Amino acid sequence: MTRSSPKSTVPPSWPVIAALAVVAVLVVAMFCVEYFITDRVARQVDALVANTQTSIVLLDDMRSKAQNLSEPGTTDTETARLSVAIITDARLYDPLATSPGEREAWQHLRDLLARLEASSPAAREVRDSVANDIDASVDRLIEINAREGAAHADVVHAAHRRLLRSDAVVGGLTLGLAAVIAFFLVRTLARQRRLISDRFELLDERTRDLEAFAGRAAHDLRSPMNPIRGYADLILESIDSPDDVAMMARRIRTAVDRMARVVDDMLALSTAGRPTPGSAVPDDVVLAVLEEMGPELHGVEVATVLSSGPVACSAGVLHQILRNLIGNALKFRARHRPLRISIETREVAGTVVVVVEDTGLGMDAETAEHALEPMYRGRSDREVPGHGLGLAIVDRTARALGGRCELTSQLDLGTKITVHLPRA
Amino acid sequence: MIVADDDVDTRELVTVALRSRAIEIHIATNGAELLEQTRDLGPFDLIVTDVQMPIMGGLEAIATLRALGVDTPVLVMTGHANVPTALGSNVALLRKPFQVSELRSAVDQLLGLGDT
Repeated sequence: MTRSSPKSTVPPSWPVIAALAVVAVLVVAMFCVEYFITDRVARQVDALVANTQTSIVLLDDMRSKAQNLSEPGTTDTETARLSVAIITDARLYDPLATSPGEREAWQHLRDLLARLEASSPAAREVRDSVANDIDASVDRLIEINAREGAAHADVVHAAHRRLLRSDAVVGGLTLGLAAVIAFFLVRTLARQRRLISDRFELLDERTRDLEAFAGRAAHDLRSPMNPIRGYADLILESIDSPDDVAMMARRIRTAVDRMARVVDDMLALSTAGRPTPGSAVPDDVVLAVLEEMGPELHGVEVATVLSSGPVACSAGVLHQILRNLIGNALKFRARHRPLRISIETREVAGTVVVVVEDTGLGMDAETAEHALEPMYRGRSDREVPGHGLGLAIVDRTARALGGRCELTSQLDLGTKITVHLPRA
Repeated sequence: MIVADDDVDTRELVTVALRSRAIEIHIATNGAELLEQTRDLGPFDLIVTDVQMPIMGGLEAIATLRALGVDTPVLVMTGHANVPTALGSNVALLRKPFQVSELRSAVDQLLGLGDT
C-alpha cells in the first residue's frame, strides 16, 4: 500500500501578461503608424488638390483673357486691361509652378507676357501672335498639371496600397499573436482548472479522512469514559464495601490511562507532519530500540540485517518509528505460533529502506488497505488492545520526511512494513 | 441476557452494574460471537450490544438476528454520535458514557421489570 499526496505547481502568469503587453503595444503602434501615414498622405493630397485647382482656375482665366486679347474687335483700352489682368494672373500663378517641366513652360509664358507688356497696344499683329502663344503655353501648362496630378494620384494610390499591405501584415501579426496567446491562455486555464479540481478532490479526501478520524477519535475517547462514569456511580453505591471500591478505582485508573494513551498518540500524530530535522544511522537506532524493548521482546525471535548509511531523520524520530513498528508486531502476535520479527535496513537508489516483517496475525485485504489511516481498527484486529494510531504516525512521519510507507499483509501469515526515507 | 462489547471495561461495568438484578449474563466480544452464542445458548431475554466491534458490528448482528426471526429486546450502547435513534421495534439506544441508573432503567424497561 503506498500513499502519496498529489503534487501540482501553479503555472506562472507572467508569460501571458508579457505576451498580452506585446500585443497591446503592437496594436497601439499599428494605429499610430496608420494615423501618421494617413494624415501625411491626406495633407499632401489636400495641398496637391488645392494647388491644382488654383492653377487650373488661373490658367483658364489667362487663356480666356488671351483669347479675348486676340479677338478682332478688341479696343486698345480693352487690350491694355486684359494684358494687365493676364500679368496679374501670371504673378499669382508664379509660386504654383513647381512641377518638373512646369518651370520651363512657365518661363516661356513669362517671356511672352513680357513681350505683351512691352508691346504697343497698336501693334496688333504682335498682340495676336503673343495671345496665341499664351494660349498654347497655357494648354501646355494645363497638360503638365494634368500629368502631374495623375502622377500624384498614382503616388496616393500606391501609398494607399502600402497602407493596406502594412495593415494586413500588422493585423495578421496581431491576430497570430492573439491566437497564440489565446491558445496559451486556454491551456493555462485548463491546467489551472485541473489543478483546482485536484485540490478540491484532495480537500474532499482530507475532509472525509478528518470526519472518519473525528468519529473514531470520539469513539475511542468515549469508550474509556464509560467505565469511569459507570464505576464512579457504583462507588457511590458501594461505599460500605471497600473491596468493590478498590476494584472500581483500579478500573477507573485503567480507563484514565487508556484515555491518556489515546490523547498522547493523537498529539504524536498531530506533530508527525512536522518531524524535527536531523540525521541518524538506522543500524545504531535499531540496536538501541531492541535493547530498550528487551523485556517486551522476551520469547520473540528477532533477526536483523543492517547495512544502511545515515538517513535524513533525527535519531528521536527514527526511534519512534521503529518502536511503533516493532510494538505493532508484538501487539498483533498470533497465539498459536511463535513470533518472529525480521528487521532489515538497506540503501536503494539514494533512499534508506527500513523493513520490519513479522509472523503475527496478519490482516485481511480490507484491513490492510486502511491500516495506515488514523484510528482505523480492522475487522481482523480481534481483541487486540489499541486505538490504531501507531502505523498512522509512522506513515505520516515518513511522508513528512519526503519518504513513504508501504504495507503488505496476509491474514494468519504476517505483516511486512517497509519505510522509505531519504538518505542523509 | 448477553452483553456484546469489544471493550472489556464496559463489559465488566455492565456485569457489575446489573449484579443486583440477579440476571445470568453471557459475554461476547463482537457481533459474530453474539450470533454464535444466540444460536448455541439462546434465546436470551435481552441483548446489550456495542455498535462498533471487530469482525462484526452490533447493528449488523441485530439485523441478522431479526432476519432470522429472533425478536429479543436489544439495548444498543454506542460512543458514536451519528448512530440513528430509530433502530426498529424492541430496540433502545444508550449513549456512552452512560450513568449506571440509565443502564439499569433501560434494562428494566426492556425486560418489562418496571422502575426500580
